[in-house]
Amino acid sequence: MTHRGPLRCLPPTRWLVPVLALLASAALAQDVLAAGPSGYAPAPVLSPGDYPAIRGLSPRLAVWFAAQMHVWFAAFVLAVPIFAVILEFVGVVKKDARYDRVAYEFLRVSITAFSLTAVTGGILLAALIVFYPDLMKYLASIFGPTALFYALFFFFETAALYTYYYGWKRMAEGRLKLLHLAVGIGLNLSGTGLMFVANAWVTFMMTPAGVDAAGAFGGNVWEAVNNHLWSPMNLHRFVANIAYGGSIAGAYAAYRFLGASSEEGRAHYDWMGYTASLIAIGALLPLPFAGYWLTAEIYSFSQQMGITLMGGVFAWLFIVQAVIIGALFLAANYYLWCGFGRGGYGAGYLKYVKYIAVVVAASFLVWFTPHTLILTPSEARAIGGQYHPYLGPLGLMPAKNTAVNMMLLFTFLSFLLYRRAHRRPVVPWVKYGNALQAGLFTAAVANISFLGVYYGYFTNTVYKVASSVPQVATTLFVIVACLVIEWLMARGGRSEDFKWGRMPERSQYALILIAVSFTWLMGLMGFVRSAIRQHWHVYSVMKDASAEAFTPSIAYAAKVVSAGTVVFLAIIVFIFWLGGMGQEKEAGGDG
Amino acid sequence: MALEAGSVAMQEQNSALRMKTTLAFIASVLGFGALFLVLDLLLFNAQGLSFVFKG
Repeated sequence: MTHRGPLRCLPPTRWLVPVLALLASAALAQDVLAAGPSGYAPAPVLSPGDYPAIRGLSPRLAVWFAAQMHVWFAAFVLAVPIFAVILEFVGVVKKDARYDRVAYEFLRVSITAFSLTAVTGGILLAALIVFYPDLMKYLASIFGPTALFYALFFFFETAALYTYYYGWKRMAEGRLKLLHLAVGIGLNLSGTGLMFVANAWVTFMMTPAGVDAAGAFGGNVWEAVNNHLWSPMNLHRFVANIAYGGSIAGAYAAYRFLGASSEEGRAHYDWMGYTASLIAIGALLPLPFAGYWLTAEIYSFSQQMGITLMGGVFAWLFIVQAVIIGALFLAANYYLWCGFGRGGYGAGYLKYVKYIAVVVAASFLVWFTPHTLILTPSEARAIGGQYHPYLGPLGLMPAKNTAVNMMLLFTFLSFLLYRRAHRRPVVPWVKYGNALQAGLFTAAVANISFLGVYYGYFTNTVYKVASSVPQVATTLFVIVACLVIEWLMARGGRSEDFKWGRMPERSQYALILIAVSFTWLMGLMGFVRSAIRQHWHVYSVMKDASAEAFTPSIAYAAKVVSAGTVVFLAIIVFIFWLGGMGQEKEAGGDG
Repeated sequence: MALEAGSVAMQEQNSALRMKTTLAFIASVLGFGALFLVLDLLLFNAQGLSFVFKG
């Protein structure tokens, strides 16, 4: 491998974009500041003629596609360094070189994606300036100073990234290793800071703050940055990025596992895939709570916006979301069940799989049952109305909350059994410990069902919403309590190492399915978040007067997002292929 | 004869253990069930609602 100085190896895409962003923002801000006597003009009132047009090109589609590509790549490259540092740290503490090797490999896979993130960011910026100049001028008049932070974070992130990556082998021992870890932490802090700045621009467009009713800026940039959605969006994107990065890294491991020719290679990529999927699913579990906060803030800012999100036409996309997340959970469970074979005691637990599968599949079906059906008049007459007489109640939120909690509980049960596959507890109270855990699960299932059925169908709306809190608390309690009991039972127990690589090939397709589901889900739900602004550039203060200022049909949105998913994943496969070539070259050079 | 007696003793021991395990399961269902009800009550109260719905 060739080691080069960090600055000499910076590709132009890494420094050109922040410089362009800074210059464009400064130029646009100056333009607007000159326009008003008080310094800050109200939001411009536009007409269709204010939007430049290029024949045969849809401005909305161009910006949508570029933004979507940028967000997918950005999510991946922000997440990988987070768990690379965590794995490197674990490797240092445990003195286990496997963690270090996997962390380095994760980072190597993402390094090509860094340049593509910058390229797609540049395309997005150019598309916005070309097609929506007045909107960009208005935003720059408010957020001009934040572009400086963006550029600074970008430079720090780039410098830290290349030092972290190219210094990995040179800074492998003693104090240099600690310094290397510190550089990794710096890389993550600057990457997260970068995302927070961009989130401020996006969330301002949804829930503007620091401006009056006409959109005239009051002069306090922090007020505009710290708008209603900024903090929940920061949290939601931070957690979601980790889940997404884990899923893409898991798909990479699966790709390499399927192509591995040696037992050692299969073992390595099996372990890598397991670690990545554990990170992905681990980050997925708290994501609904961050999403809950984000949605609550949307409702708190504008009930109308909240109703558009959950009760209008977009509600159908939540059904699609349920299908995709349900598929994701089924894939995660299937992967864990296949993993029973890695441990010596796993065969004894296979008999429970069919029961868990029934519960997970039933919960999945309840989760995506729609409340209002799209029916022809004759179909509606046949079932006696718009709602199905028996399945209609399953379309309501209490049923879905109950189903989601059941799915989480039983996925956790799969994980517990998976861990037992290589560990046999020998404490004298094993039978009582098992009875305690079985009792805990039984009581939790009863409590979640009671809360869902009684408060969901025999009380009013306030209780229906409120009962979801103890439902989630019950699930979390079971997870924590079971892990504590499991830890106490495992003391002094017999355990044997997992036999990594002893996985059927079909299990790896579950990892690929998880990555595809995440990508699709992000695209679809990202569309919903953005589209609830409807015909506003900046909600309630700056109207979109372009010819495309209407909400597209769900089918159109699904086609755009699906096409984006295919293009993005094709590029990712290309990156995987490049990553494999780099590793072969490195192995040849080193060896 | 001794073998038979041993087998009977083992069966009795297993049966007693099964009984104790079943009791432990029932006790844990009741215990955790009560704990969850208290948790529900506290979480409804924290949201300004009474645990018992009064129409």
